[in-house]
Amino acid sequence: MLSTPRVISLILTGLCVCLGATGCDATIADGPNPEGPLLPPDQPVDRCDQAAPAVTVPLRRLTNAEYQNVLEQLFENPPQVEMLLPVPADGAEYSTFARAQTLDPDDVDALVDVADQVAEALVPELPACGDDACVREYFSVLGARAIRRAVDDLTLERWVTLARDARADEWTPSEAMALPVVALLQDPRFLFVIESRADMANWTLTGQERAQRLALTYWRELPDDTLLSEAAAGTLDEPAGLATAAGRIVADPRARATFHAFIVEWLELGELSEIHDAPLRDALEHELHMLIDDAWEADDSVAHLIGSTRGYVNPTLEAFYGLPAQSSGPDDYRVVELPERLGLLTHPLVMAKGAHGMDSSPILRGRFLRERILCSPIPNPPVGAAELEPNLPEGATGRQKYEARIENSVCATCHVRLDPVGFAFEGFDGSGRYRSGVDESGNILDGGDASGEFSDHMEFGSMLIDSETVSVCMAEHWQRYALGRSDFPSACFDELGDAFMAGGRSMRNLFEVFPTTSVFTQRSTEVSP
Amino acid sequence: MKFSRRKLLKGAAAVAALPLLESMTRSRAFAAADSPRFVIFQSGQGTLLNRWTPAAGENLVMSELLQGLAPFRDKLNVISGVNNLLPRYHLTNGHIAQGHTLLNAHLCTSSASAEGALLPAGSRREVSGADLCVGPSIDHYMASRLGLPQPFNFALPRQSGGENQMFYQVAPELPSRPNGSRVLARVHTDPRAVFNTHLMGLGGEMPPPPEPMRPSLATRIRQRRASTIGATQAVISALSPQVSRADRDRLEAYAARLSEIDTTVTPPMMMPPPVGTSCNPMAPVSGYPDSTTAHYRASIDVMVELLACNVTRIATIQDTEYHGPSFDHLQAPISSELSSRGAVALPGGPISNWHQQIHGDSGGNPNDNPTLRAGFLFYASQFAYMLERMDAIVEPGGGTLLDNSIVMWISEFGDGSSHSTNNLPVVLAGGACGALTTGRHLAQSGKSTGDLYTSILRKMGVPADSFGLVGDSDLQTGGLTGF
Repeated sequence: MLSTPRVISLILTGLCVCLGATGCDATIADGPNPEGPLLPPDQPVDRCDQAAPAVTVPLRRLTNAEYQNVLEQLFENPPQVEMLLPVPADGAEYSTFARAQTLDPDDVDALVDVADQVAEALVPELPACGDDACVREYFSVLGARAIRRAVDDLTLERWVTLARDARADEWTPSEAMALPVVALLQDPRFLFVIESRADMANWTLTGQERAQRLALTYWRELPDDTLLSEAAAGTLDEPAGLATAAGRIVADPRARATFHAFIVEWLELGELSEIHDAPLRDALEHELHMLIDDAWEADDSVAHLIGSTRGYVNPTLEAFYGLPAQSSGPDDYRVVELPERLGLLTHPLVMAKGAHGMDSSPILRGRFLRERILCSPIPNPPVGAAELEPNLPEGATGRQKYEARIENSVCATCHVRLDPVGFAFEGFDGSGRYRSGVDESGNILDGGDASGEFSDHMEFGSMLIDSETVSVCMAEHWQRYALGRSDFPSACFDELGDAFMAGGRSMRNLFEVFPTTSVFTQRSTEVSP
Repeated sequence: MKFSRRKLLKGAAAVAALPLLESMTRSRAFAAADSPRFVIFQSGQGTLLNRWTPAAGENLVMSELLQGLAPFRDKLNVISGVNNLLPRYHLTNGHIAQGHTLLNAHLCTSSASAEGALLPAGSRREVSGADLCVGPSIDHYMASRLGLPQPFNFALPRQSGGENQMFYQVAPELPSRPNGSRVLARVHTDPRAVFNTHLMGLGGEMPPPPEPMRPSLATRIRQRRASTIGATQAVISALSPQVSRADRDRLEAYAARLSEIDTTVTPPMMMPPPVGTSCNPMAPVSGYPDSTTAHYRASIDVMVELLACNVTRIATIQDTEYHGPSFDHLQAPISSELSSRGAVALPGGPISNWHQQIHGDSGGNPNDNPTLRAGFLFYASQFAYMLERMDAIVEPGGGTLLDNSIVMWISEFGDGSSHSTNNLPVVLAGGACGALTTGRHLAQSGKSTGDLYTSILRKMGVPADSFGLVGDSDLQTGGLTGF
């Protein structure tokens, strides 16, 4: 049974989805489509009448980075297999989402191949167990660690049998140990993060599951001894104990590394534009990471991420930004003020992703800002949208295209929310260099308390920095990344959003508070039949 | 880069670890070579129809974009006017449903019931890249009907995934794959690995070294896969009832995939090539995936050799890079290998916005865009190379491999500029062992992809009244006109 508040919040979520998109979604069935409508006339005009999906996101697999880290926790000298594991699928918001982790034949082939290869490579470090008791003892300890629970007798006996049969077939004792390792690495309790129960809609995570979540979320590996003993002692079941554990975990450098990984995915920088040559790209990446470090250390991370004017430059970047050559060498990144900068939002690596070659794209940038900064995304264009594109001469500016586009009411419904947001960064070309004298005026429609007109990117920036909508959106994205899902009732985001605001918008504080929120300690799913 | 460093390494590892075992396990499965072979070449983003469509009349006159195929004019049927009507049943923003449904003429799971039937309009979801399709693709269906092993599906230059998931096996319904969806076919991206596994040693090229006394540890671990996977399956069976339904479905999908893994490692087996066979495989040259041209050549070479050596009867090559190919190999001056087959150089440097140019988003009229012509002529040049290779292989029973095949070139759009799935550009090369009259332009009206595949099935010896979704009256009319 769903509790009453939860039902209400689910209903509200559905409503929010609709309100956010009302009027901004169109079929072009009535438009001048020479091929006839590609959408049938009885197709719903408004995509927002499709209710938010039920909570059926399945369990996720260890990410490739987690898999490698865990191997290094479990063994002395494991091979590097991250690049041999399945390639994450396109189309998921973050790499932690289950839908990024398909189970197509190639994917499972890869998982099985990797298990074989790891086991083979580990033979030199595996104990030379000549009898069943030795095998049993070794794998009851290793296995419990790997599958995050005590190894049941049936499983243990299967592993013991694998090794025994191999020894009987004249494998050396250590070679025979490779087979239980293969089985272990294929085991779903190793590969997947299992938290659900059959026939239960809502439940509270056990201490062991909390330890697993803490370690995977912040360190991208399995719980260490301290966490395991905290779980065993019941400390993690209490808010105070959980807070203490979170404090220790977040203070660890591995948590900062997770923050870096999150910010890079949040900025959609998984694959970088090739507009910058390799040395420049490397330098820009280095600068980006120094700026992410700053945001981690800052009391107000949001102001840093979307408002700081700081830059770090070595000789390559001095030349790129047109600054005097004062850095002493490639590794000397000196601090500079870049007055036109708005934190990471206008960083050249981000600007280059919102461009076609050297041409800035207000549409791509507007889409990014609405999804990642305002949490108010625009639906994809309808079929045949390209046919409605105004026929303009080559070299028309984004603003001219926009003016022509909104002449058509079908296009206008969405584009009035899209392009004028992206116009804020028209001053930054496709390589992310600032060019003065370009019209940057625009407005944010339906952007919560960030809505309104602005005359240039600096005014746009201060509207974002002052906005609670934008701040809460930041917390929302962390929650999605951390939990690998996005289908939360909005109330679940509110809890963390409020905590984020109360903590002065510090990401370190957010990281520490997050494990004590209900969305971290509680789970819900549909009732199994 | 998404392309598969994993797959390259995997290929290399397989060669190192399994010098012979795998390579020798496949042998010619067929005695006779006198029934036709079927090949699909799929390129992306349609074409420029008024430069592609041949002049009216059945006598084939090569159009501008088909010039590279002129040497094979007498062995071609160009089919114009075939429509893919399936996008009418999908909510989609563009390429996705077309890409999914081109070769199976059926629904995607976003618009199908658990039994695979069409859902009412209000219940259909938007198609996403992850949605699979209902029903097998034509190549796998044909293989199944003819009792042949699974076709070889090649993808280049990158990976098989993304938005163009076109190839589906004939597979039993899996509980973890609801809505009637089928299983994606295994796609090969590394032609050298295919050569090593399936062709090396055939045709008397390479005598087998003696079998090692004791297989390597890697091979022995692999030989035990039935046991290790069996242990995992047992764990999943015990675990599934303890988790939620969504989790259980996913665990069962994992179990189903594990059960598909080939755990049989049979001893090496060498058979002398049949007398008079045209099987003489050569290892593909290196140069891919760095060079698109080399990757194309290697994939085509290996695919043709698989057919010539009778390892398979049905094969496909898909260019999955429909979104942003840079065509850097078409920078002036282009190689004679390309220009001799009708390819032309780009007007400028490599391009970064192929997709925008296709749809005219970069300004100007796509039809007058020399970059687009260069791209489409490149695809034609590669199809020409494929035909050239097939036509050079004289078969023991008479005729060339091309004469004894149907080789289809198709794209998911007609005019790419308008996202239109009507008037698909279709070229059918080869005479299907004499069953098919050639040298014709067959203009169709009111014909669907279902009709196209129905006609092809019949020429391949499969009795068929329809292929794919049988729904609205215009979906299936029983075959092409004049075929």
